[in-house]
Amino acid sequence: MARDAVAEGVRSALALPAWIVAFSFLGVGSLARDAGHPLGAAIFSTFVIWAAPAQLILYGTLASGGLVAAAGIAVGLSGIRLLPMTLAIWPYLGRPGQSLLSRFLFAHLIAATTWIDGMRRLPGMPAERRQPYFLGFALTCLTLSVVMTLLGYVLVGTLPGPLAAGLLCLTPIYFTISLAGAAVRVGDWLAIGLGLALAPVAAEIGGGDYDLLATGLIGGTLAYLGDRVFRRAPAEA
Amino acid sequence: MAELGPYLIIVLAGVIPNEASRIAAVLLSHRVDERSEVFAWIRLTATTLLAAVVSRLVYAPAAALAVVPMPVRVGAIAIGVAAFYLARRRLLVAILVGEGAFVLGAWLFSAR
Repeated sequence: MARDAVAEGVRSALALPAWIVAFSFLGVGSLARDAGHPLGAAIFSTFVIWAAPAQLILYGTLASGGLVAAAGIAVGLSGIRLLPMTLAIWPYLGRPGQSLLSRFLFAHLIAATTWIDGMRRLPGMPAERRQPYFLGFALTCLTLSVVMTLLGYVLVGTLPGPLAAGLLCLTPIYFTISLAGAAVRVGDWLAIGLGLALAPVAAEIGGGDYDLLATGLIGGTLAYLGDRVFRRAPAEA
Repeated sequence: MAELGPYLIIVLAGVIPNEASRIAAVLLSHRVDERSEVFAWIRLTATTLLAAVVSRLVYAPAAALAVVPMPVRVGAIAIGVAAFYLARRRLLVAILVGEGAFVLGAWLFSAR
């Protein structure tokens, strides 16, 4: 039954994944305030973007004085990872005869956390339970993340010094660990290392407008070339 | 209309570029080869971008974070990453350890 499948999705989200993803939005909320956005806009961004990395890049670029256009290009680049993810999960998530609007709404709910769980759980599920399960799971993650965005925004303005600073440092801590945890290839490590190392350099010599985007393009290209060189090495079969 | 500005920025520089990929995937009937070289480059560029933003947040931080000395900021992240591997790749444990180290360091060493 559909309602039962929704409940199962809610339960498996609350078991842990929803809390972990919501944690990252605590940091997003604090960043939004730092970028000078009102609380309503911060909450709005979590609903309509629903991708912590994109929001992080958006607010990070704005807070460091970058141009809106540069932020948009950077967000677009970071969002492209959603394309293969959505394609991969779609055989389990799409239904024949589904309206375009409904398809877009389901696609909107695809983010790292919901994708990982969906790819693991949906294939083994009867087809009619998949959409309700995914809705229950994803909307639980989204709701908790919106609450945490609000909490992060409010708390960073009210907590005493070290704790407010801790909230602002949550995002760097969270994403550095996530990046390290997701890295499997030489190119991934090169990308992380180059991004961390080049950003301050670019800030000093470029300053402002496009330097984060430039760091991503230059560092990403170098990481890609490094990865290719390593792939050619005979050690890899 | 200054109060609408942030919402407009979110839509133009956030929703549209981000949602484009989700919408494109739904509309594409044929499979895109996610193992192609272009995707490998995009994935690494996106990873670099994310690392760059993280670096920027630590290097040129917000005012409330800037009062905490740089070694505390960098050290807490390093401790969090180390905890991730020591705790058998448990993300939540690692974040809590890193945060704990940061708040302790901030409390002990912050410029007042």
